Amino acid sequence: MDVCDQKDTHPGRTRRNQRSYCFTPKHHGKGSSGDARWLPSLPRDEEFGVFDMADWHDLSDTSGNLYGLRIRNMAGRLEFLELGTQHEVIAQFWEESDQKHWHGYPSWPVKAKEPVNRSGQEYRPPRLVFDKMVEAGFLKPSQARRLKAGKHL
Amino acid sequence: VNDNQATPISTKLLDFSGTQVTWAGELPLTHELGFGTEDGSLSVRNEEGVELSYERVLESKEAINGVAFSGDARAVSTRGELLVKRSSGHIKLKEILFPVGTHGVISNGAAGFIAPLGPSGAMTVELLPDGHIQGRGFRGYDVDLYFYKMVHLGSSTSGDDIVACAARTDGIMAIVSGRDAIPTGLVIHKCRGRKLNESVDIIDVCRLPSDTHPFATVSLGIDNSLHFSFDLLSDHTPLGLRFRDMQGIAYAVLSTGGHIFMLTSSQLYTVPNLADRLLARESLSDTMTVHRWPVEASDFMMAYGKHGILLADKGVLLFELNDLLVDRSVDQGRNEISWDLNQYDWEAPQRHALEVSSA
Repeated sequence: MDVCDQKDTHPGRTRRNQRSYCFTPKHHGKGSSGDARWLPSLPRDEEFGVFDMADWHDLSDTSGNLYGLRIRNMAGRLEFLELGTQHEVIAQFWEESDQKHWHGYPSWPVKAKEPVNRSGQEYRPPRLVFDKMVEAGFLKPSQARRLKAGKHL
Repeated sequence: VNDNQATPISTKLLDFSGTQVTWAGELPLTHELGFGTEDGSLSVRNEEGVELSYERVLESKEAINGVAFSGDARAVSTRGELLVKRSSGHIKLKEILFPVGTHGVISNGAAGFIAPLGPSGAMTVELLPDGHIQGRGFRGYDVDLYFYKMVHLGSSTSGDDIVACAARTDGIMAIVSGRDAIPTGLVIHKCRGRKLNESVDIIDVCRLPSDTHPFATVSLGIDNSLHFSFDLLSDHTPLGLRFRDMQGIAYAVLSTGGHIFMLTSSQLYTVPNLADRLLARESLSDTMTVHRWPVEASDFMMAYGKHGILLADKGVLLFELNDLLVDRSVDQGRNEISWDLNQYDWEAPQRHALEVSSA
């Protein structure tokens, strides 16, 4: 089932892999109270920007899912901004074939109850992704250790 | 604040052969130090930092974020699970793996453990007299709350057990449990910053040891604000104060010996005697002495009231807490910084019921 409403897609494509992106109602306030939700104040271009940065730097897990951060550069010092309503700072984008729209949601720092259609999946960013974020220069090792332990940045 | 250290703090750099450490703390039964690693192992060391044993405790190889002991049981937590094992000597009696992600785990006295699960609520683990282990989830009844960091405060005169919890923008909570260790209610304190009129993000809380104020706490806002409460159970609102010119994102607050220690993303601050002065209701002068150690670390822990452990980028550093109380600035006595009391509005505490379920 395609979770994307064709009318609610971003007009752009990612710079690296020319991937398209859609904004799912489920993660924009139309889901249940247990669904992760993007901050209502987050502009859609910025949400797409998080996806584009994840795609550009290949911040992926072994299944091909991508993970992005919302970063503000304050005179060379990187600030990590929350992007979800539950203090999430990392977004996860489920792997899709390149013919389909990708979509994403703010990923909780600790394992949450799995939705039925994602049973058995990790449902939180794996350690490998934090190491990739250090290699890409986004995180310091101390920040990666904090995320691995489910702590805030 | 003067950050030019004339004499560096004497530290011991502990070797973990390249493995990252994500938790450190006391192993009270043997009076040793424990170090949890990013691949689910536990290193046991003596107070000098010499390794005594190394054990893979989690098959998931997930990073350990909490280890706690209660009676004959040990609990180990990660972002993906909570493992509770009861044993007698080296004989395993009972082990249960709860598939819930937690921000850590603490002992809630002799009864068992309590763990914060973020927006999912929290859970308690009871150690039953027949050797079984009983898990129980709970959350606010009719209210969404974020359970982030916890500290055990003790028992009230009526026998209730009290745990304090930093609840991010939901404030600070006192979790009340009955003698049977089943949570029965919450006292929630919420705070808004005056400048932006936004809820203050409370990310840590610690107990202030006091014979006269058993439920006194100091909490830490992500903006480096400190929020002091004489009694988290009472109707009195906390006192919020903020030092000027503190750097970094707040990570942790600890207290021992009447002092307060704060770790941020770029500094370890020591405020000598602040806890004692607050508990004694001393009026505070316009400036306070604050010692600063520029260091990038993921966490700061204390052990046995005398050891400091920093999970720093350069490695795990073990040192004496007393060393943090010495003025090491080049211009000694120049580390006075000013602070502000009028930036926070605390609401009257709200009492809430809980929704409790078997885990």
